[in-house]
Amino acid sequence: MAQELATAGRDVARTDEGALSGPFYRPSTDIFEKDDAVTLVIDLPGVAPDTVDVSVENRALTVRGAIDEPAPEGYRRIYAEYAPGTFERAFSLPETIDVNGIEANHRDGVLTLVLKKSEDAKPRQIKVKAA
Amino acid sequence: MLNIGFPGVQWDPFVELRQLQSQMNRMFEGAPRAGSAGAWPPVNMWLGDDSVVVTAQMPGVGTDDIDLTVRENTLTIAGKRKPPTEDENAAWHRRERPWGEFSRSIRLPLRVDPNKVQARARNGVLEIEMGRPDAELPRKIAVKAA
Repeated sequence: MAQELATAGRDVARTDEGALSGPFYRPSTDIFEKDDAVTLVIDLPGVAPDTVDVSVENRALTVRGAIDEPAPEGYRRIYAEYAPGTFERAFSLPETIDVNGIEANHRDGVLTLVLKKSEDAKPRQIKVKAA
Repeated sequence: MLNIGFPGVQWDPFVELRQLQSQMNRMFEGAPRAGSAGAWPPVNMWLGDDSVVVTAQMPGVGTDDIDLTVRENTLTIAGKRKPPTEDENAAWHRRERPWGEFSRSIRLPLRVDPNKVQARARNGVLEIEMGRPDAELPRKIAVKAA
């Protein structure tokens, strides 16, 4: 982690695709839960689907993606409300999530992750036996 | 209940990273980002010799839901962003992405020809290229020797 921080600070110029490059942005995220699944919807505009990095380590889910939006050729920028960089955000997963069953989908710059609850965590009916 | 992503509830190893992020965001950016600025979508503008390009970050808006209009030197980007679920029984843990109808008018540095407009969408970024009317293109004037 310390290693990554040091690199992120210096490495402003992109070297290769998917490499970390600053500045870092925290992507807007919706999270909702329905029945046996939790869905994360994460805005990653300008990030190519094949460069999105989703990883799980110690129940921390990390999403990363570098903005790949080359400047239009022959143009100079005269006004800016957003800038190049990397989206990154981490989420802590509760024990009830099955980390092996995460589905990822990327469309129109939006990453959707569907997290399934593990079998043990699913609500189930317990029958009460008469004594 | 699930505690995904709620700071303070569980130990989060990325708190320091996020703080660094926001500091860097402030350092590197002259203009505020979407959300804090209020205007949606956030745009960048690029100027060429006889044309102008506007790029807009609008993730989650399909090309069918984008409505572009150009009039003289004003570009209007309108459309609709759908909510991620319409299920009323879904329990929300975080709701940060704006949705619904939006419309934003942007004043361009030059008048543009509505017939010279091209728009492309890629990974949630819309790029609109607009050219000047032919009548307004700068012309070379030959100087005759007397």
